[in-house]
Amino acid sequence: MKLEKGIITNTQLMFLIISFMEFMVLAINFVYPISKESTWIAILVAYALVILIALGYTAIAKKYPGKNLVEINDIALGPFIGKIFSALYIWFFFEYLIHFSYYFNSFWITYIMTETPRIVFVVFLMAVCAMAVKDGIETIARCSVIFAILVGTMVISIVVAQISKMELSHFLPILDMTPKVFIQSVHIILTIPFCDIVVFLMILPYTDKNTQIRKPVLLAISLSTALMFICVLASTAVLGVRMGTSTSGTFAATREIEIAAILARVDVLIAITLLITIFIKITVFYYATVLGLAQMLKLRSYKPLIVPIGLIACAISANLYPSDMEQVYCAQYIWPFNASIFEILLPAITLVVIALQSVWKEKGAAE
Amino acid sequence: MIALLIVAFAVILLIQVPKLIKKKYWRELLVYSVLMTLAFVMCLLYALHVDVPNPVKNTQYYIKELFPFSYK
Repeated sequence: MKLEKGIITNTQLMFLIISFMEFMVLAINFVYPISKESTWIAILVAYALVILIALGYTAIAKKYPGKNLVEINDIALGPFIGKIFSALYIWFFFEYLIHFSYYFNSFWITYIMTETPRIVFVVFLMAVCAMAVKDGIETIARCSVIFAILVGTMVISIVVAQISKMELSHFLPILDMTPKVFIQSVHIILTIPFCDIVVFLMILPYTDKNTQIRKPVLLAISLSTALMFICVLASTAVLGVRMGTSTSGTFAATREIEIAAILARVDVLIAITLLITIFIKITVFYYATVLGLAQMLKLRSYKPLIVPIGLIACAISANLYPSDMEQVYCAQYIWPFNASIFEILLPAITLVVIALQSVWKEKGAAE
Repeated sequence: MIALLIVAFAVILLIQVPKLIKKKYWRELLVYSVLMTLAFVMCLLYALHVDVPNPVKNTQYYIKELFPFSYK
């Protein structure tokens, strides 16, 4: 039984992925202390890799048009191993949901409202996201069109306002780091802001032309990477070596903006960007978690699961880490390994199994 | 805080459970009750400031141990 009856167009899918990935203008902050002024080179390498990985994801989705990740796992890997894979993926989406809501709160209570308890933000954010999830994929996709354009415009206008503060000498020295550090920064960029699009394997079947998904996916990745790339270049040119010491480089660079003593403190634009992009991120992961769980348990609707999953997420994310610095440490040293399993290893296994099956089928047909 | 939590859960249950019963969604009701019980216990522990091991945080530390190399 089909749990999601909504259909989105391929253009809406593209905007959904763009607004989903635009969070990387903030997620890139985890990499600044590691690769400092050479972050932009790491982004280019990670971009080349993510294109290959995205081709793999779309190959999986195109092989089974109209089927989402849970159904694909069942068909391709059999009911038993398929269920294990689906459970792992759902757990991973849930982990992301928790981490993003924690990140949102830590940013908000560090920079904007320092006296407010964490749980207040978690509950309100989760309530808004739950409403979006309840309305289904069509509503989420429609919001994303506005959000993608809004965030893009804000980031570009911030970059333009920073021009007077930029210095080209801040890019030097180029690649002043060991190969291991470079690999680490590429790994972080690849796993945190890029490859979390694995969640779109849950959404790709609900597009109207679900065999022509490669173009919108690749275009969305390229556009959002371009936006992040511009943002990183601007932040590097403004901050230079200070990037390594700030917890949020993008935010610190925006605080530098001062035009004719009138236009200053526009850093709240970054806070709005965060609010919008995190909303889309959490909504998509929330949606994937409840839809996947409902499909795995063979329920007739995913809507009864929205409230309990949201409440569990609130309870966990309200005290996920003892301090914000632990999340930064985790994102730099622990999470890339955790995410690699779900974003690269499991899809690779699925892809290999699908390829072997089609080879056997062709052999069987030839004989 | 705890009274508020119980009231909030009671309101949610009063809104959602009759809908599920009306549609005869028994399987959904079972999953819903299990998850709601879990959610209630977790929220209660949070409200009582009980330090429970965090599954989301801990599993990623274990998974990292599967890899032969790490960054330092």
